[in-house]
Amino acid sequence: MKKHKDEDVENLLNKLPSIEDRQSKEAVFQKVSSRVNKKKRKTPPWLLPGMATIAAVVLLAVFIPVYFNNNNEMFTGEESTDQMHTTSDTYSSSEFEETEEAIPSAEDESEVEEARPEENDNEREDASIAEDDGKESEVPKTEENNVQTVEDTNGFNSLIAGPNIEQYETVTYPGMNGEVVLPLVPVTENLEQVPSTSYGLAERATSDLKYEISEQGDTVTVIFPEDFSVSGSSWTQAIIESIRWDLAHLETDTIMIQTESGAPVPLGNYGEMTEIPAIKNGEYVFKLYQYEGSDEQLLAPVAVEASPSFLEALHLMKESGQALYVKPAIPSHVQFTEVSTEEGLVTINVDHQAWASEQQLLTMVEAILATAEQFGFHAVQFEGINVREFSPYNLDEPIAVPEKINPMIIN
Amino acid sequence: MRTFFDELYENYHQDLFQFLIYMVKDRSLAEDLVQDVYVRVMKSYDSFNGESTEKTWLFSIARHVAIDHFRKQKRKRNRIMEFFDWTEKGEELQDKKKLPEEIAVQNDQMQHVYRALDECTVDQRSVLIFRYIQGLSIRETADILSWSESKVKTTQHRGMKALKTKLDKIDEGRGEHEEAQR
Repeated sequence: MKKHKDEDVENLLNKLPSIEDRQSKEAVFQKVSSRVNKKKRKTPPWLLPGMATIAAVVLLAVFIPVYFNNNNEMFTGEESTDQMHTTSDTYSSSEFEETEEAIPSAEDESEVEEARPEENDNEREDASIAEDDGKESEVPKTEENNVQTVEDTNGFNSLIAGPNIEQYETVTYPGMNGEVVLPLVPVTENLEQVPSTSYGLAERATSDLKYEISEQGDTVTVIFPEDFSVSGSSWTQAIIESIRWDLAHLETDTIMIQTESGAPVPLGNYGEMTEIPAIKNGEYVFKLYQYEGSDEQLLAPVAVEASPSFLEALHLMKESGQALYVKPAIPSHVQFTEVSTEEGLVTINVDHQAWASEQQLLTMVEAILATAEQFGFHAVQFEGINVREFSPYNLDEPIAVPEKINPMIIN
Repeated sequence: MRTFFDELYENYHQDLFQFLIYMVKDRSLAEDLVQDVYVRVMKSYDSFNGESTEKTWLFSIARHVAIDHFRKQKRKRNRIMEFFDWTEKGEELQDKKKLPEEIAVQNDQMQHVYRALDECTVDQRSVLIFRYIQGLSIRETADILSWSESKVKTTQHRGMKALKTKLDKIDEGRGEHEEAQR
């Protein structure tokens, strides 16, 4: 029998074929990126469920006796029951009056304003329900309860800030991978309460910076710490974009930047800079940011190139793949047959198939409204959306574009 | 991160995958391990001090990823062995992995060489893959493994010997089979 020689085996090894990876580059990057960005669990896995269980037991221990006591009181005699009804009627009628008062002030606004989400109608509905409901209306209306009502009345998740939280500022956070930034309106004075983990938000990129806005509001200077330095192009980009979105509401073309001593700011690959451009119309479309495993969605501005038309922008909102955790805001079955504009009003003709849910339609409508605002329109008229029921907006009227997006109600 | 990944992917991905699949002989496992390599690279990029070349550094990580996989597999097997008696069936389970299509279309001799790589130790297999399949020099192989050149040569020699023995055995078995058929 012939024995193999070294050269024979070497030749055979040299001839072994190349075995190619069939995964696409994009797929590999997505998987790698999600693992790199995954935060290590700091607490043992049983800790949170354990604490939640203990909290639930404590709450039950407190409330069950109270509940039984109340029930016992209710059935102790007719007199006390009648008295109770009287009390609840008083509460509900006064509350109803308050709501009625609120409606005319809203009606005084322009037609476009009337087409905002039907919050007043819903409040009216709530009031009438409360009137019938007796005991539930005993909950006094605090400011915080009002806020909740606006966002959650219909049971939908609205991504547009209503007029009742206009006193709260927009604060921008980078997404977890640093590829997009997310302008939010946290309804709190204390930003430490922002649930960044559940929304997939990274640490704020601008927390060490100070904004000095002129009295006229037309110039703004961002003051960086004296020893400021940044490494990595994506974080530099996150800082610049966060500043631009934090200051998006100002009527200014440029944003001046300097250190505390007035020196130019070293911004990574950009070198030393003294100004950055403010956001202009038509630079962004809005898509949806949803961190892996999170139920929460946010509108995410995604930069577009080559100044697209509004119709092109709508098509861009259907595309996926620009950034990790960012997905299209418009379902693929939706077609835009015509877009016409007239004095700040854009009319969009929509052709579509069945909606997955009312929420899907609401999210699309709100993402389009936010994009329309970015393109300089004041209101959007939708044509051709055929739905049996859509309570959040009146689609027969022009809908005003939002001033602020991504309200974050903090309980 | 994206730019860095793109650069690594364009320059080394195919070679990395090639190394891992010849080490573990399983496509989906090699796909997972190649991701492990990138994750480790991304997390430890700051610690790369430039003393070795990027390629040497990357393949050294790939080798450690493969070794970690074999260790985990061994621990798992040992745990299972404690509960079951594998003394008879354990032997049968070896070498039944499906061949990758690229190997399956080759002639018998090539398939035998591919299978015979299993006879080598992890170190021997690493050296043979780097030297003959990836075409690296003794110096480059030594750098990746952090060995001396003489250790690479010795390991290569032993690996070749193990391969030859296995191939000789296969030929012997085939000869006896053919004689019996006559």
